Amino acid sequence: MALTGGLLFRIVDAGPLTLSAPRSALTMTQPGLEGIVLFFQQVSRRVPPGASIVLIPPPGHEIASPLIFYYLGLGQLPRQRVAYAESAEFAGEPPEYVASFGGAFDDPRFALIAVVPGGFLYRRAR
Amino acid sequence: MTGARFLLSFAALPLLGLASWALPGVARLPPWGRASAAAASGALLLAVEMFLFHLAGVRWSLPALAAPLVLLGVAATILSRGRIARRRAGSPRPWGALVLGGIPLALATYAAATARATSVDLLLFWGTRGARFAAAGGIDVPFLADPRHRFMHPDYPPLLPFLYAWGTLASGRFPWGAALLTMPLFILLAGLALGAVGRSTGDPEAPYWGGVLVALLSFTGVASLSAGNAEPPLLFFETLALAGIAYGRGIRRLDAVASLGLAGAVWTKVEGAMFAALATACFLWLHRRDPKRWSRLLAVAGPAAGLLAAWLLWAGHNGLLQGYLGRTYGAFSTERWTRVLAELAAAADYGVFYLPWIAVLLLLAHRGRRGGFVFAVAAALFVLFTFFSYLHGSFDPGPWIRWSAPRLLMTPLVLLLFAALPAASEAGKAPESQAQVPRR
Repeated sequence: MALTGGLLFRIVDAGPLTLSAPRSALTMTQPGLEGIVLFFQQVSRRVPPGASIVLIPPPGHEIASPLIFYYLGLGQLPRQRVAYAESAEFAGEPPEYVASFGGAFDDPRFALIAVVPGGFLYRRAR
Repeated sequence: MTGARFLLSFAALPLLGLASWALPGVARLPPWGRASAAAASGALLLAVEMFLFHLAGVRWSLPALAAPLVLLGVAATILSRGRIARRRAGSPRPWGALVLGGIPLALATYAAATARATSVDLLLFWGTRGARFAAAGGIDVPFLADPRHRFMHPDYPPLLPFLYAWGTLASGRFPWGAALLTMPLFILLAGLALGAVGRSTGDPEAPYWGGVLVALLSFTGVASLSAGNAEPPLLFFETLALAGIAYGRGIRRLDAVASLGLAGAVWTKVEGAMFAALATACFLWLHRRDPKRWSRLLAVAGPAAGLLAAWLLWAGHNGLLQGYLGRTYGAFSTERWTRVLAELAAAADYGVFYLPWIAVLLLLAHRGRRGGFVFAVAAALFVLFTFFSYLHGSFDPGPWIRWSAPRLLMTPLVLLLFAALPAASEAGKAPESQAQVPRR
C-alpha cells in the first residue's frame, strides 16, 4: 500500500494528470530536449532513406551539447546517413541535406526546402 | 497502428518461446507462469537467433526470424503435451494478489503511457540501437565502432536492442511512445514468474509475493525513469533466475527456470553479469549439501556463461569492448569515494524517503528467515559493486550517479525481497533427504 501511495505521489509530482498522449517520450521528464526530437521527426519524414545529412546544433543550448544533439538525431533518422557537426561549419564532402535547429543556415551550396517547427531543412543545390 | 504492431510483436514473444514448455520446470508451472517463462524464452531465443543470423550474414526479416522459432515451439508443445500441468479444479484464485499488484501496475502503465517514467537514455542509445539495427537488417558494426559513439556503449549486451529491432521490423519504424509500455509488460511478467514458480512448488503465498514484487518494481521503475530502458527486462530475467534458485532447493526441474533467467540477464545489461555471478554463488550456497551441485551448476550457469563469452568474443573481435573493461568513463580511483558514497546514498531515496528500502527491510524483519540471508548478502555485494563502478573516471560523478543509480539499485532491492520470502528460504530445508536426492 505504501509503495502504491509513493507511486501515486511520483505520478502527480511529475506533472498535471492527463489522458491525452504525450507529444514525445520526453514531454514530462526532459521537456528541454523535446523540441529537438520533434524537429528531427519532421526532418526524418522529408529526407529519403540512405541520404546523407548534417544536423547543425543550436548554439549554446542549455541541455543539448552537440554530442547529445547528434545522438538524438541518430535515433530519429535511423535510415539516413547522419554526420556529426559542432557548428554550421562542416568539413569534407558536403552532405545532401542539412537540418538546422533553432536558426537559419546560410550556405549558397544549399537551398531551403522546408521550414519545420524548430528549424529549417536544406538540400544541396543540383 | 505503428505502436500497436510494435506491442503485438512483444506480445508474440511467448509464441516464439513455446519450446520452453518442453522443460519440466516450465511445463509444471500454472498457465500464467508458463506464458511468462515462454516470453523469457522467446526473447532469449529470438536474440540468439538474431545474433546467429548476423554471424551467418543473413539479413533479418520478420518471417525468417519467426518461422524457425514457431516451428520449434509447436514441435516441443506436441512432444511435451502429456507433461503440461492443468489447472486443478478448486485451486484458489489469488484475487488478493491481483489487487496487490494490479493497482500499482495500472499506475505504472499510466505513468509510462504519459511519458512520466522514462529517461533520455531510451532516445540516446537503447531505442537508437534498435532502430538502426532494424534499418541495417543486422548488427550495425561500423555504427557501434565509430569512436564518436563510445557513449552509446557499443559493447552493451544485445538483447533489448535486438527486441527493439524485432519490433521495428514488425511496425515499420521505431515507435518511441509504444516502447515506453514495455516497462509495465516486463513488470507484469516478473510478477507472474515469481507467483507461478512458487505456486508450482506448493507455496500458497507465492502469488502475493508476486504482487508485492509488481508493486516494488512499479514504484522504482517509475521513480528511476526506467520505461523503455533495459532495466525492466533485466529485472524480469533476474526474478526468473532468483525464483528458480530460491524455490529450487531439492527441486531439480527448476534449474531450467534459473538457467533461463541467468542467460537472459547477462545478455541484457553489463551488470547482469555481476548479478549472474552473485546468483550463482547463492545457488551454490543453497545447494551446498547436494552431491550433484556441480553438475547442476553447469546446467544453471552454463548457458549464461556461454552466451556472455560469445558476446564478449564477438565484441572483442570487432574492437568494441570498453564497458566490460571499465574503460567507458576513465580509470578507477578512490580519491572521490566520500562524494560517490554521499551521492549514492542520496540517489537511493527514490524521492520518497527511501520508501522501497523501508518496505523490503520491514518485510525482511517480519517475514524473513535465516535461510534467506544469502540473498541479503548478495544484495549488499551488488551495492558494493555499484559503488565500485562509480569510482571510475575523473569527472564530477554527481550527475552520473543521480541519473543512473536509482535504476542500478533496483537489483539489490529485488534480492532483498527474495531474502524476505519465507517459503523460498525454507524450501528444501526441512526435508534434508530431498536436498540430497533432488526431486524432478
